[in-house]
Amino acid sequence: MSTTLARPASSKPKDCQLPISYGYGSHAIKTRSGAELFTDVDLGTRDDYSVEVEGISSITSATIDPSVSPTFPNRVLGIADIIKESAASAGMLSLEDNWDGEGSPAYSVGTFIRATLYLLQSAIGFRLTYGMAMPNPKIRKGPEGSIDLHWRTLTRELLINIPTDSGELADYYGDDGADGNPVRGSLDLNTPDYRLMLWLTS
Amino acid sequence: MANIVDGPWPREDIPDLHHLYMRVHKLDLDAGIPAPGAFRNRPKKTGGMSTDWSKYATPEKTQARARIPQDNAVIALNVGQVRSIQGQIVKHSLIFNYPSIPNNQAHTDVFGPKNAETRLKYLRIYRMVVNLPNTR
Repeated sequence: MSTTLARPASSKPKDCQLPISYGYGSHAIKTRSGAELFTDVDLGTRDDYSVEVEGISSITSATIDPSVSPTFPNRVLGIADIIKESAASAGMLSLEDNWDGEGSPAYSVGTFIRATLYLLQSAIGFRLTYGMAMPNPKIRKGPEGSIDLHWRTLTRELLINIPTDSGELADYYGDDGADGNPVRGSLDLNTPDYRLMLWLTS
Repeated sequence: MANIVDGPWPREDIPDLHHLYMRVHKLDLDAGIPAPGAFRNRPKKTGGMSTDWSKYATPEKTQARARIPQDNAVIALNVGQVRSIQGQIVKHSLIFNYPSIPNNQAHTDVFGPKNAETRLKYLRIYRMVVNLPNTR
């Protein structure tokens, strides 16, 4: 289902300062081959959005199409930028074990999707909760098959490491770019928490 | 401190003012700059980040030790700055008479966690000494 409706300005949440109306309903992000990358991107209310993954095994780096335009205005939510970064970084999925000649393992689709999913959830949730845009990160190869999410803004630098084991917490560290004002800890990727994004944009 | 003799070479203490050379694979470069993931312990079984001590190596020699040298850039790390990163231990771990590994008097491991914090800090102290063209 991909219904798009313009939400009346009067029903917009007070703390959600979207510049234009946004669509709600159930949406999908598809690959070039037609496989659904993310399904049920539900923007029904700002509190109960959800993103689910389907058909992970059918996704390859070559078929993710950053020009795919979902039926909701992704430019408002920052989704297009995330999908573009995800597509640009998906080449790591084609690497085989020992790709660096030093014994590094291959990167799994599951880890890659969890990293992209976390970004999508964070971008959508942060926008809908605080009315602000999440800065665009880079998705990069991490150690031992893990994946790094790296933000660098004028005043902040943040690194989140997505582990290969979906049951593990994600390690993160951030500061002002010169070792000051540090934040560090672990994240449960399954529990929405936008404090890091708030810190990143402060 | 007394040096430990390992094969024909002594294992030495490395001064803070010296440098370590480290290969960075082209796939670990982002527009010619090392990505955070370039700083990792390898090979995994030894538990250290593999480098060469500048006393016994040059950037070119370090690059030449790669399986495919032209696929590897080389960075320099100041030993004192490495030691200033939490948990990082610099240890001269020369290689002599290892099966299938060429002898290397310069080999030095940097032990300690390579977590998000330490890797971000490595990004602030490296200096590129052998660049690769056209790396994304």
